[in-house]
Amino acid sequence: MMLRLRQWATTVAVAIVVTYVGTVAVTEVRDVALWRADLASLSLVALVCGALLALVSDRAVRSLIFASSLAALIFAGVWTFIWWSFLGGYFSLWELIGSNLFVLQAVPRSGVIFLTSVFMGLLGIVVVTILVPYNYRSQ
Amino acid sequence: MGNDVTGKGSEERESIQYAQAGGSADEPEHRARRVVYGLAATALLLMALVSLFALVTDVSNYVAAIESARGLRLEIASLEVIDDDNPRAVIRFRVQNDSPLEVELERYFFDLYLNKELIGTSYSMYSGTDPNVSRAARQQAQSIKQFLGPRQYLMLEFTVYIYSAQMDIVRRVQRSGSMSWHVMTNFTAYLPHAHEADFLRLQAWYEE
Repeated sequence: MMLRLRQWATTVAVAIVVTYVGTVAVTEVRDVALWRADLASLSLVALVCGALLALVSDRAVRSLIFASSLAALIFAGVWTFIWWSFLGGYFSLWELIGSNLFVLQAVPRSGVIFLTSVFMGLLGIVVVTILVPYNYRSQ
Repeated sequence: MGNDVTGKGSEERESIQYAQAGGSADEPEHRARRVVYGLAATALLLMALVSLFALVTDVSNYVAAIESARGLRLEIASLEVIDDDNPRAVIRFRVQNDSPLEVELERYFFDLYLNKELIGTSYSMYSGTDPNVSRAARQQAQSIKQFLGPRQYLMLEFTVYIYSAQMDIVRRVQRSGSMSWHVMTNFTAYLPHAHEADFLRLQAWYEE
């Protein structure tokens, strides 16, 4: 039970980190962000997260893919919230989700975050698997 | 991972598994693994907490910036056409900040339309009558550098020099009687929490 909880906690932690850096990297939020980020930052953070996942989780690849999917979903949710705060009086939530605004802006950017984090995260996992002896990783 | 059928804690179970594999729970390798796990998990947790804090802050900053851009209103307080040797229009704007946050206006320029026809384009706040004044002086005058607090307004006066072809249009419309002025402005502004200047497009109408 405890182990399962840790697995979930690390997956959600990676998802939050990827969501933050991804949101700042691929949207206009970067203009008002505490810390600026671009795709290189997202790649680096995904690499580090993948490496850390490989150290703490015995199913790092599965956790990474799940965390990246969760990050893409949270990202879409954040933008739905932002647009809803301005356009909530004019459109219903379902109209907003079906609108060009969502389909042409939130969805492709979610895809960029997902693919970048999966690719670079896998690279991090591979690096740790090669460099860190088996006995020092979570088994 | 797996079902904890023995009822023992996972760390204890790991120790037992490790011991069964031929090692002792107190061996340096086992301790090193726990240290590595602890450091990596702590790093992930800290990154997640910082990211969560930053995500909430940044999204609220972004919403505030958009709200402040939406809260800026432009009105034409007065518009006077002076038809002499240097035909020009003198326009007084009123820029109102209806948002609850402070906005920094840096510079602005605009296009002036009369009955949908372009009459002039501003490139100066210079209000003298000499159109040969240096370009540098005009650009300097264009910079307003004003902080516009919540519910505050700013009065700006502009002079647009009108070329003869456009002045003919103005005279023709003046004779017809119905004059509908339209001003399209571009402000360079620093919105709340923003690191970079944004272009804000504001427009106003004036009927004579």
